Amino acid sequence: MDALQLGSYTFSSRLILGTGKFSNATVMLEAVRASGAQLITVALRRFNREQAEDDLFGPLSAIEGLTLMPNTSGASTAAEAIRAAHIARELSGSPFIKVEIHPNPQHLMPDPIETFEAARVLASEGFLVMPYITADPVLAKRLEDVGCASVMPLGSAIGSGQGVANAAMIEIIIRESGIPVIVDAGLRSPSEAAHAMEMGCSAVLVNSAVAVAGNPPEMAEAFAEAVAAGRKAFRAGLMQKSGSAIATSPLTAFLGAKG
Amino acid sequence: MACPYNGGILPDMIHGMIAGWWGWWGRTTASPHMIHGMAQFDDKRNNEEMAQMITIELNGQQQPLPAGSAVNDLLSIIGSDGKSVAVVVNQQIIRPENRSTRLLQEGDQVELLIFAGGG
Repeated sequence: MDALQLGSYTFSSRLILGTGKFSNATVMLEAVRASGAQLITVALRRFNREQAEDDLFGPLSAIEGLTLMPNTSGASTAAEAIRAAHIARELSGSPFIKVEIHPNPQHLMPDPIETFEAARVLASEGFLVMPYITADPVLAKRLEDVGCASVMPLGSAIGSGQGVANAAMIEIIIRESGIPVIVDAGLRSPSEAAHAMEMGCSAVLVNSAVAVAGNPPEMAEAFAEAVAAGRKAFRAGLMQKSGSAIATSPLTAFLGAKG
Repeated sequence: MACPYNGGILPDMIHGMIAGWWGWWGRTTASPHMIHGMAQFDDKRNNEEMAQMITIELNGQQQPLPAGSAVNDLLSIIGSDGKSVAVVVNQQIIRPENRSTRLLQEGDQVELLIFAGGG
């Protein structure tokens, strides 16, 4: 089986699905099922008795084979992210944590310094740390060195739908990385997910593209198929690009020959 | 006759009991002196009850609570079974096995957190 290995966890699906921005929990759960995703991100939020339907732990736990990956969204410092991770692990029982530290809500770019510090501490505490980062090969390598389970460079800004805008940097990360590289954020279409997988990404994390689609469950299924196709293409080996045409039919001279 | 105590920091349940009791007296006793006397008694009882209440900060808002309440009591009052809620008191995580013995004190800062949608 061509499985995704993260720490001691093995996943047959290479699509990781986020659960934010769905119109309601029912649609979200349908999309989760349709995606076949086995690793699902969730966020911590204050309990509100007037909005009991916001509590996703029960409904997601009822789906067999799911592993939850809480994120630290909302944290703007390493200390806040570490605190959120501890609380999340208490609730989920899962060692996975998506370290997500973005101090500026305007662009939501991850803070590399705080992310590194949080990842270092949490990895030393036994978390399977999945840091959300800019596509920086140096940072990615440093995060690998401190024991992260993967690195998750953004394709483009969160929720922007601009696709893999920094493919060249992500290719360097993939080439130099000894841990799974997962493109997180910015994907809009299944073809972009397929492209990321063809590049050699180990998985993709998608949320907005599915959540705000006209038919989220159908889009989730489309992403699952694209991810599988992209992975298969990567394994099969893509042909080399060429600056000039290379004929696919024999260019024999008989048509031009004078008889 | 309106109940002289409008709830304030008492939980709805206690307030409802007081209001019901007061309404019964209002309907069955017409004597102003008796009402005045009962009001004084009622004030004294309310003061005693209020003295037995504490106020904590729950998810950033004031929450009255009977003195001596444990974390589990708080969860019951707000209608949570506690299974999918993380409890943090004064920045310390309270594990489920400790929620029945961890008593809450005046001014405690309590955070109740759940998993919601997120990417």
